[in-house]
Amino acid sequence: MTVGTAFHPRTAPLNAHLQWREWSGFFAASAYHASHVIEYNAIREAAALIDVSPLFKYELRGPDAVRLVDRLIVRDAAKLSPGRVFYTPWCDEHGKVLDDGTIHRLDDEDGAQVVRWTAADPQIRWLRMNAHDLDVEVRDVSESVAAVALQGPLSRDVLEAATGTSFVDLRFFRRRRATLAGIPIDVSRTGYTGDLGYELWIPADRAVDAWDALVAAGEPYRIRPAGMLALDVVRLEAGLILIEADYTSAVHSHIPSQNYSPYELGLGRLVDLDAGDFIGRRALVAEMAAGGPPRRLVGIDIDWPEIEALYAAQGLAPYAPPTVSRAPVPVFAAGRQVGRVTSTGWSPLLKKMLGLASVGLAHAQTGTRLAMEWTVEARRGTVAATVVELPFFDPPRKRA
Amino acid sequence: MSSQPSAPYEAIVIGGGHNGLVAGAYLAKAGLRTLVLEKRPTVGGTVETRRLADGKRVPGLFHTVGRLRPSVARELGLRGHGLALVAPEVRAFAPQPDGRAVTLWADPARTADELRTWSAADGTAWAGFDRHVRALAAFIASLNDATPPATSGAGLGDAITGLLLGRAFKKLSKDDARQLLRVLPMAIADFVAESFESEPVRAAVAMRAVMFTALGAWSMGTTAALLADSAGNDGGAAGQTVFAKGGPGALADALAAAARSFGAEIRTGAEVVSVATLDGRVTGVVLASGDEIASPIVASGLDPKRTLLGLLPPLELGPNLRWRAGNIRQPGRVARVNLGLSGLPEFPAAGGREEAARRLRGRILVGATGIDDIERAFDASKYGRISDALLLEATIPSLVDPSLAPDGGHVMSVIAQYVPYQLAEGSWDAAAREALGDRVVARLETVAPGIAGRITAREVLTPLDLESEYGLTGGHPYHQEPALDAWFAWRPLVGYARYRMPVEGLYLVGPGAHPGGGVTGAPAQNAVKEILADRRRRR
Repeated sequence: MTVGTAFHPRTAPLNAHLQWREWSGFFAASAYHASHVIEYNAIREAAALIDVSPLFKYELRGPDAVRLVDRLIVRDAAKLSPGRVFYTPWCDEHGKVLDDGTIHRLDDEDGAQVVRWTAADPQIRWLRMNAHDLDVEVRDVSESVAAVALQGPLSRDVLEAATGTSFVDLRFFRRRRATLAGIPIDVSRTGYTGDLGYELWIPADRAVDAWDALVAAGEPYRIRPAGMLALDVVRLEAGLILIEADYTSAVHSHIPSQNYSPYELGLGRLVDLDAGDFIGRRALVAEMAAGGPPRRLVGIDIDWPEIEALYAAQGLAPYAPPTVSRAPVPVFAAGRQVGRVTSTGWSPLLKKMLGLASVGLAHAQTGTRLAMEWTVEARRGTVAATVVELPFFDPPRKRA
Repeated sequence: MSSQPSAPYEAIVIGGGHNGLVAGAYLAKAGLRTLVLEKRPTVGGTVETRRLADGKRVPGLFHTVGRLRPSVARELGLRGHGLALVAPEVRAFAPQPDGRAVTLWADPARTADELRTWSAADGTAWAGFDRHVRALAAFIASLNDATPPATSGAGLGDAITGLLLGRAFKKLSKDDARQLLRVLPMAIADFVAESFESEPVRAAVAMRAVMFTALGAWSMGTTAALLADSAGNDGGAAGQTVFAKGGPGALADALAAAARSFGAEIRTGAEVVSVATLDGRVTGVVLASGDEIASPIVASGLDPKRTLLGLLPPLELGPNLRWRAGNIRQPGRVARVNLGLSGLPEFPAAGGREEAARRLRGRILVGATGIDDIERAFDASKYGRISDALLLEATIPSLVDPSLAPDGGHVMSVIAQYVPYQLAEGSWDAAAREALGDRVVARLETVAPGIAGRITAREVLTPLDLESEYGLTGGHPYHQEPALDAWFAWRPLVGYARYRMPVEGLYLVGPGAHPGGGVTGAPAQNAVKEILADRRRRR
């Protein structure tokens, strides 16, 4: 049975058109407004509140909490000092990605390390299976911790107004405790938008009060609630991958080609093969020794005039769907399929049709010209697509 | 502790039990500089001769050695290293409540004659049954000689194995061949009922199918267990009863002497606490002393759970395999009682003094009175209880080897079957241990009245004691339950039946590997073939 998140008493009345989708057992708003584009604009131009409570959240507590993290993630957890946040994938024994998420090193308590681990899929069994011989307690806090993303160029102003404290010093991928309307919360300088933004981790029983405080403080900044449709557009612009769209978790893959190593997902820069052992390391060492995986994640810039031409050929005006498509679509080079586009969408800000694609190594170089299938009125055609650097949109304020 | 040798070791064997010694001997024989490391002060593990408080000598866990693979004894020259075996004319003697007994002799004709006193039909059936068991067991023996096939990506070696097994299968008569696949999963109760009508005869045969297991006479797969026990030795339907002169420890001594003669070094008092690895490869072992000894090959004679969960770093094993290994079933259901006796106990069912001395030289089966009697004793153990009618396999080794009781008297070795590792109530403390000893003696009294009065020394080893004494996880003498789900290509785990453990250079040579438990030396002999094959391949 799908249930509301801790913010539901506030988000439900706002969802004017009852546009809900299911996210990990919770109702998540697709869009609060008639069109999600106004929410997109709030994220890119002002400030937006996105309820991300359905994320799976775990608390690792004990003297060996960081050792458990180190055992699992591809990055060097020794560098995960209190106050830092890592974005990282984690792999199975075959070096295939199980999931990706952010891992937050909270402040030590009573000599115990405390870690907050967020994930798209359930991880409790994996975390506990790997905690063998470690002194760490793993708890599922998904329902006791509510999470809201406060994102957008004015998000810092909203946060400072709401908390009465400055957040200028909280750098990208750092976190710290804060107080919001008397509620003890945790604030991380993270998000899934590629913009300036924060994620707020709030005791679930105080979620409504926190929401009200943020909305009140955000009023002068034209804050809006934003749903999943808008989030999908901004994450595509930011070149951020989405599980089950851009890759399949090794847990759910049915055939070898559905498995992805971090190197195939553009996450190779995160993999630290020299900082001690972790699950999947041996396989990744072997993969790199063999020349690396034969396919890579790339961004593609899809030729809009050619799309227009496909519509024109059928006597239609061109149409750019406002939402991101997660339907995989073949991509070609010299008439042969060399990969697939996994997320496709129009960027209102960049005025471009963008895609994330998984293509053969030989076609992954920036500037490579590919062709992508494009269907108009059930008639297949192809349009040009050029491999470009990710992220598509990378404003300086993201890290500011 | 000696310092590093002048040349590094090429193979290390963890555990100086009989399989560890067999592995060490074969590795050294193949020219590898081999080191066998044993935690205890003596080698042999479960195959040992212990000393009772009264000075008499008794077996460790196993008391007969008739399943030892003949090729192991021959190739390692064990006779030349002092091994002397004694096979009495009697195999098993099962006293019955009515004062009579079922006696199984080495000679099938003699057994048949004796069984006729129970049932003419059973007597007539014996020779055919014995032949049937021998034929099927001969095929199992061919399986036992082979390394199980790879479960994925079968190679040339598997094709050859398949060919050899095909040939062995063809050797079976048409009827036996048809029967084989039918009988393997059968309950021993049904299998014996197809040949015999009297309950004591059925039970005397069936008991061997459940010994050392957590299976009852009505459990499926127990026929396979009986055939496995008869495979590769002269047991036949009656089962082997062979003693080593000097006790089972004499076999361990001979194996150690053979290993040393080939150049193996054996260190006792050396406990391995972990296997050292680097990037998925074995680099050596770490001792409790902290010393690390390097070797590219490590062969573990420990049980698979102890080997995988206890010795390997968690990241080398990986969480999924850890989970699977954690599910390896090791339900110990055996306890041991050794008795020093002032004289030969009287078994009224064995007849007069001379006759009794003949009949008592084999395995004495107490409780083998009916199929359902076996099952009821099993039932109690399923729920952590001990049946009042425990199943006992006793031997009086001093009858064939008086040197075990040098100052006169006798020793009796008792394997108590269906004593649970985990008790439903209470725990295996000193009181529970002594209560078990009392219970076993009381059970013996039912067939040998007055035996309690002859006891000069008593030693009781609970399943928990077997675990701590011999390192048997769960107290299981076979390292892993000999059920069909843990048989051949599924032993110890699917994908790891070919002796190679998940870390390159690490092998399993104990009975947790195919073909399983008992005093055979077979898993070690098989495993070393694979170790040497890998070594040749690497060169």
